Amino acid sequence: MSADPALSVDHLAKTFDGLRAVDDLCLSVRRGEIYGFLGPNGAGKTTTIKIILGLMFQDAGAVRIGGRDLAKDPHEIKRRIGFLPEHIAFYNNLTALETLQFYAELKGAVDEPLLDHLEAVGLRPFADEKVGTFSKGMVQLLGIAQTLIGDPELLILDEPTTGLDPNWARTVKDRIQAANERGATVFFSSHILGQVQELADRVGIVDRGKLIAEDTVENLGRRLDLKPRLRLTVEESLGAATRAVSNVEGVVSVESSGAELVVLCDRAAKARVLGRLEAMGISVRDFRTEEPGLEEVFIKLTGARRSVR
Amino acid sequence: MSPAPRLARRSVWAVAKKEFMDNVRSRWIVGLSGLFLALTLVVSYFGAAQTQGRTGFTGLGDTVAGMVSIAAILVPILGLMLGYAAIVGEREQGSLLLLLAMPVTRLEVVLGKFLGLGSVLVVAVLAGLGVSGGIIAVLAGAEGLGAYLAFVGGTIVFALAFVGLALLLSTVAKRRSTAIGLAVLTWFLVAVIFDTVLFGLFIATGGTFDFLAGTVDFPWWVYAFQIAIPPDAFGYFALTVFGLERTFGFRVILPGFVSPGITLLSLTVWTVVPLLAAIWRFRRQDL
Repeated sequence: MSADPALSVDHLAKTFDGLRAVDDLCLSVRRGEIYGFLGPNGAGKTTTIKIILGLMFQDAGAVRIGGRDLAKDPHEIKRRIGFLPEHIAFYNNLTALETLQFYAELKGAVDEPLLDHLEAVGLRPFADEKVGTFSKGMVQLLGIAQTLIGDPELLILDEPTTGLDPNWARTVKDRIQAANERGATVFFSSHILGQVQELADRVGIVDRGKLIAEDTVENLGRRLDLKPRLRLTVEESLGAATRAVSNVEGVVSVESSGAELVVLCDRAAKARVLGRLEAMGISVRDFRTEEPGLEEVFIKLTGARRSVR
Repeated sequence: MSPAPRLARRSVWAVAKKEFMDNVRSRWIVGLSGLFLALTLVVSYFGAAQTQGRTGFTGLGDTVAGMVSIAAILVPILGLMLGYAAIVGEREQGSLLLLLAMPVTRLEVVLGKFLGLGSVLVVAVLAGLGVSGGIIAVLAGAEGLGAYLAFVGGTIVFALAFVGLALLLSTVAKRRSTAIGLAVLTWFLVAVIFDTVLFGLFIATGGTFDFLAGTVDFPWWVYAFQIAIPPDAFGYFALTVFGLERTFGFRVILPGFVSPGITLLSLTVWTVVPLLAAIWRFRRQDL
């Protein structure tokens, strides 16, 4: 039993209207890890998650949760899962506490201190207010609180921090990490590379319904050798600046983009680039670093430039 | 296909309770139930005019014809309004995904919603018919009480049929607005159009209807079709339970096969079949 992965997906396929949303997808989530399911919008992440939870039905392939088939014992298996859907919604006439009570009743966890779950996401003061009056961010936080009911072994979170302001996104990340430290396995989807790098132990990258890479975040970072982009605004002509930095050690490419100089370089070369410009008497008015995005990952993995949202 | 998982009563109960609490507070439902109560009170005062030619609270049997005509219109509206959005509303809003990811099966969700919404209707029917019945029983005597209780029971089955139908519409429709349209269409078909078409057929096949003679005497097939449709089945159930021969001033000669049993059977079929169809539709739907 404990040798089985927390979640495994084997050769899963799903087609709608002639479009292959999920195409022979295989992945495996180990017990106790945080697994980031990374891919652009429309890559098949939500469809995969819906199939895992029995909300959609696959054309082919199998899903096993802790080695077991959800359809065989849905009550027992779903009792151990916490789920956050991508677009979460509750019942507008129920208060925050009544909402949690309803789910706790379904999970057979009525004795749980539900106010603590509201406290954990900062919604304790709104316990007796109707969910219909909540902002979008508060609804998302209530969504996180709801995943804590029944101390689940497996958390399945679809884009948990998308659309949240940085403070609330922090709260969500903290809750995910805290649940993981208590022993929960976490499977979450995201279309933002930075979020996955920050939270996940391992990452699976999905594109057009297929898994194109699966590795630890560390290995993947090394394998892909993703470099940040330095964007500089300089006083003098871009041509002179381009010539000045192009032979700095660690610089991969220099391009001009409008009034900006865009330098792709190793992390360690950033200071050398700025130093060279200063030595050449070119004053830098402004600069910022752009962390590598999903787009770079796809270029590295597939060799093709492809626009991702 | 894996074997069907066991039915967890706790899950059905949790869904039913939530559905009841959510809808019993709805202004629409409270308003319609209040209207139902007010109208039954009015007809129980004036209703005897149709059978006895005088007003006042005269007796349970005298009032039934009026109550039937009110319930036959209002109860389907209540049932359809309660149930049309039960599934598709949650689907459109997004709460259905989370609900179904809980330890609950789709069968339990549909059953729970049926029981929860059905309970709201039972409360509305008991309030509407119970209060009026109580007043009549106190002022005019409890003669016919047994028949009246059976009538209340029949009204509840009649109401549940429309919850079942509404749940079916709610699983067929992909959008809430489609479900509203289907509910309105269902009400028109069942409460208005069917009887009109049937009467048209009766006239077209050489039937005659003499308002002045004061006697209703349709051929057997007209009654057979009427029994097959909920509002008429409900009406004949009430008439036969009380053994009435007059309604709205007309003498009604019913054929022998029109009985409380067969009309109640028709209402039960109208409850169970749409409910089963809703469960079947919902079971393998991609959400």
